[in-house]
Amino acid sequence: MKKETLKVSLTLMIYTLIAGIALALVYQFTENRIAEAELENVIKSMEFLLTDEDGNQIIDPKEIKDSVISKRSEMGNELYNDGIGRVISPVYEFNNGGIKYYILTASSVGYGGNVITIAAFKHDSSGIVLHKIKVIEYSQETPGLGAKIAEKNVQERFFPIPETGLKNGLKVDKDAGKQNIDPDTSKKEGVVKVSDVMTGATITPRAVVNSINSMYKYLTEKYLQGGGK
Amino acid sequence: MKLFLILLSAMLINNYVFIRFLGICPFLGVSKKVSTALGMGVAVIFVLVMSSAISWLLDLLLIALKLEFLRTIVFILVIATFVQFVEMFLKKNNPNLYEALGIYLPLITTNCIILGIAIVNSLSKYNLLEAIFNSLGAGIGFMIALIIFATIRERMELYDVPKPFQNLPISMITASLLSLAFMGFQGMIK
Amino acid sequence: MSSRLSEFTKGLIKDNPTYVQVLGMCPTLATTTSAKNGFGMGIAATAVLVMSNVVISAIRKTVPEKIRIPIFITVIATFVTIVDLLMHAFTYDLWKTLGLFIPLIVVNCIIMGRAEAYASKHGIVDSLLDGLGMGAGFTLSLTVLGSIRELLGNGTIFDISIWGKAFNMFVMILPPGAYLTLGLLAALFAAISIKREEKAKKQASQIQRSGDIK
Repeated sequence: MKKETLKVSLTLMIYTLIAGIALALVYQFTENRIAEAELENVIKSMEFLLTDEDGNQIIDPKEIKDSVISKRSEMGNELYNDGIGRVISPVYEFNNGGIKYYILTASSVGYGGNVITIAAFKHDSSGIVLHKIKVIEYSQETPGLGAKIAEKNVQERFFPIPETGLKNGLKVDKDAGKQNIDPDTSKKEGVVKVSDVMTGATITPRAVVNSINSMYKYLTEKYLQGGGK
Repeated sequence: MKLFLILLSAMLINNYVFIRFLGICPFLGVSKKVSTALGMGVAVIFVLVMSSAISWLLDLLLIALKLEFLRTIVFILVIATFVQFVEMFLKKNNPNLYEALGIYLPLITTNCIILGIAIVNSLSKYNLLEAIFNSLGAGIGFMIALIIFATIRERMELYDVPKPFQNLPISMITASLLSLAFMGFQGMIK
Repeated sequence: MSSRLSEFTKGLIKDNPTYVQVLGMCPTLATTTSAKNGFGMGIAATAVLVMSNVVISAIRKTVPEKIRIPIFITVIATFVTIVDLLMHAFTYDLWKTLGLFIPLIVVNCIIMGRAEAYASKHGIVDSLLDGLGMGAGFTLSLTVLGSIRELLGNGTIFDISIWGKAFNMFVMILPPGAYLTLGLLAALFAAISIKREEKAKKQASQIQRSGDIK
């Protein structure tokens, strides 16, 4: 009986060992490619963020790629946390003839998990404007409801926001009590109108708004004061 | 407060059967009688909470050793082992329940809800207490879904369902109506 | 040769894993929000199914009876992790969309079911064909389901606009729509197979009758 159990346990262990080795090999093989794919995803998002209203690139894609690669070791650290949103490193800076663009990433708690937003802030002589955003993580939000945040026409409700809207904290139209406002006027007042394109889902857009507020606060109170990196 | 929210969310608002689509296979197979459904529900809750806790602890080790790619294989082996223990325990201590659950007891291993929650706990970076509450909520939600479904199906046995619709189709359509009802819970958290 | 072919084709309709065997429900409902997602999931699951069927068939004589389930699980989990890593590296967007359901292929009852019911009892080539057939049937079911939900919920199939936003039943993309579509398709399958059975019975009784008359 004991010999039988020993034989069985040994067989199981051998199989598990073979499996473990096979996996380690495949992991070695794919490790680099996976890291590259993740970086490519960030680069693609940033290329989108740094386009103007007509879709033309403001910053050369090569410059974007170099910047992301050079800062890859800084990725993922918490820079700022106000209890509502977390700003994650690194901050990317780009210059286009005197106009500066800052790219920040922040996460906030949505419906089922973290919602991560990457945003471009434009800084010129007249002040700071939220130029464009992209929501890059929303997998725990409800499909068909909160997950609609992925759609282009929904995300477009979140930008561009002039400084008058950013200064006192951006709000979702439901929280501001201004559901009958039109999408463009609302942006100037710091209200994001989403209740018509995302019915019944306030938590997810609120998470995006919280992220934007945290990023703006970090940018103006810490980053630009401290001279940046 | 956050814990209660996680519990409620897993149980009703993001109910794993009707909204997140986990735990459906046994859902269709075991829900014919309310008593089996109850037994299955309790068994699942137990395996879910215990294996989530064990998986969470092992996950710490995996992350420390940078072996995250072994997560799937480790989690499923933990679950399989645990179900084996539960089987042996029930066979000895509660043979009636063991008989009643029959083949569905070992099938708890392949219940996607168990592996699914373990992975969700890991991805959402919950701490141990949050992970346990999430598992508890998911399990209770599963049991609620199973019992509701069983009560409806017990009655459907007496109805004259058109032949093409018998079994799978009518169950699915019933589930769709229940899912619609559960979507009403979405409004609970503002 | 025709029996080899039937090993493959049986998975498509007669023993279709989704509508006839009622296996693999979880990914079926969750990943069919669009045709592309359903198709991607089907292919990933087929890859795992074929590889695990082949390996399990190859080792079937050396596996001790008592621990065959844990060993099957180990084999399947290994291939699932491999597919997960490969998709993360080479098909990033699809990987991100399918998310949690890729590791969940491990507990897809189709794979465990075929391992237990077929691969552990048949030769490698037959197991390969069985895996391909079941996988193809599964992929077909998912793609059809995904296409219907995408068409009715979004007006597109595989992102190609068919009628745009003109006729949208939003509920189709949501969970209730998934259950409803699956239920109706399953009823369709059942209706077809019932008709077939009746036809076969009729033919059989006709032959018998003509035999009696003679």
